[in-house]
Amino acid sequence: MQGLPTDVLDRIFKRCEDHLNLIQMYLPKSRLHPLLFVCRQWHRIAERRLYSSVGLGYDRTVVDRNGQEVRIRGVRVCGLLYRTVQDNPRVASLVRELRIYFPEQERSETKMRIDLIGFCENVEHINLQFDGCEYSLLGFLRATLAKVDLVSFRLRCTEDVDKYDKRTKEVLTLQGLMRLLPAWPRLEILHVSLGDEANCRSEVIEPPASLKTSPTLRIISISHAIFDPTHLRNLACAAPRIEDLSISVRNDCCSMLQSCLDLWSSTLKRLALYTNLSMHHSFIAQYPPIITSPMVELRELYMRAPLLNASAFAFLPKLEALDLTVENYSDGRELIRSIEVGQMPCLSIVHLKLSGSKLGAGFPFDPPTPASREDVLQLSEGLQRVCGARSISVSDYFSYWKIDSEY
Amino acid sequence: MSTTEDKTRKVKLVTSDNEEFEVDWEVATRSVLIKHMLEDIGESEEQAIPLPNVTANVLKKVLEWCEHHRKDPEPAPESSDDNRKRTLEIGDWDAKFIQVDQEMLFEIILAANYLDIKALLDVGCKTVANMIKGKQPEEIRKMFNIVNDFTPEEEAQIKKENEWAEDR
Repeated sequence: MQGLPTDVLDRIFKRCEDHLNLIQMYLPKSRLHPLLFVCRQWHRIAERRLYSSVGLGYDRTVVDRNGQEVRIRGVRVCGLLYRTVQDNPRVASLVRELRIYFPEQERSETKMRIDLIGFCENVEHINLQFDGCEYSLLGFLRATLAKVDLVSFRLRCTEDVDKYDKRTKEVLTLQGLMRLLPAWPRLEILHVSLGDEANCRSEVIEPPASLKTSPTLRIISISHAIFDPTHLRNLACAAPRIEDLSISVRNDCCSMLQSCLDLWSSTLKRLALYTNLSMHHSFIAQYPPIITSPMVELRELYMRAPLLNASAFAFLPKLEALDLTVENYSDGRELIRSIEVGQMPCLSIVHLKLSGSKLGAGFPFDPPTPASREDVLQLSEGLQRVCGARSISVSDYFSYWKIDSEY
Repeated sequence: MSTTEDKTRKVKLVTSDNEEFEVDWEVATRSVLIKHMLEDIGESEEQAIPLPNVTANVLKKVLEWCEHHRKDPEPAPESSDDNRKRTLEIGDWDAKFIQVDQEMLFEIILAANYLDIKALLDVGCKTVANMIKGKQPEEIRKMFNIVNDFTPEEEAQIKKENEWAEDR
């Protein structure tokens, strides 16, 4: 065994690590612990592996050597790691990835977790599950995050409306997040769920005075937060070469979206754009199209009409998957016509939904009115026909109750 | 991309103890090292490929694995994020194949590493990982005949530093 080279031993130790599910993401890789004590060679390899990616914060129950169940508190684990990285900068410098669960807890415990991030100055990947904290600590968290040079940042804030309404706990806002972006020039991946749909938190932050560009930032997914035009402008300035974008936008973002998509037209490969347009029908007719120039790399598109309308289909030469929600039958018919005339020649999957507004609030769960039934069936059949002839896979809600109506 | 001609081609391999093996191209090229060497020497079929780091009894075993897996698709490149879906499960045939003594197990792992046969290396590493799983350091040392080269002070220091990761 001692004849095995370091890279092979490392591969074996990698196999020894725990299988990471959602909870184990926030637990230490305890299976590596015994390997630290075998010999010096094993210690070097196991230590590097143990500290390169650290997860902690959840409580866990283990069975000890006597067969007894023992509860290990996440806060105790955090305290022990705190002591180690505080006392030993060499060990702290080994940490490249931190996955920390921040439960609702005492101020000191939250601060300890934030301090841990600060001690690990070489950390490149941070993944936080965050139940919120006191307002004063939120600033401390932001300041600490701004000091590390991240390659990826993942954050999942708990969606707990009651808790936020009581204003006892605060979460990072979209504005606060946007302000952090210039601090991370190497950032490539941003996956964030802010848990604050309406941007209504009390954190007040001025927009950044100067916007630095992160040419490396290519994957952005931000949910439970709604972009306004200023956020979008800041995002375009910060990330001019986005490849994968998933966000929700406010109703007044169309012209800014158009500019942004022009900027990202040569890099964007996947776009998922969500809106709450259906709640404001009076504005819909006035919306200009947002795709007005060729999106030469776009492969996957998730959007709704009228943001995506028939004029856009001519600008999607490499599109393979389309998930479209239409507001009315004519939008659906435009899609059929566009496919028929050979637009989107690479298309292989279409998923079409009709917004509930035209069919009754309960659609697709409630059956449509008799008046709309004929239109819907025509749409469904037309789509099946043009897609079938081109080997494009189709799924739509209409077919379901077409089958249902035949019974 | 392999051609029909390639698939009918025979390849000669020579081990460190000078034993020669003639195997199908498709079997030999499970090894990325051999594949690259064959590409380098081109069409000269008669030229034997020397494998100075592998003995005949180990190569025989490795070729048995390659023969069984000759039709397998190329393994996907390893991503840095691959720890998210890692298991220690081994297929039935592979599990039976790797039931060998410890010395042969390590020889197979070393050969798979040298010959660059990722899937076989993976079977070997999983097997060792399964042997280690749940064992205490002393048990591991005993199982693999490893000498404890720590001083008591070093052991105490390691224990203190890493208490946070202990499962107890």
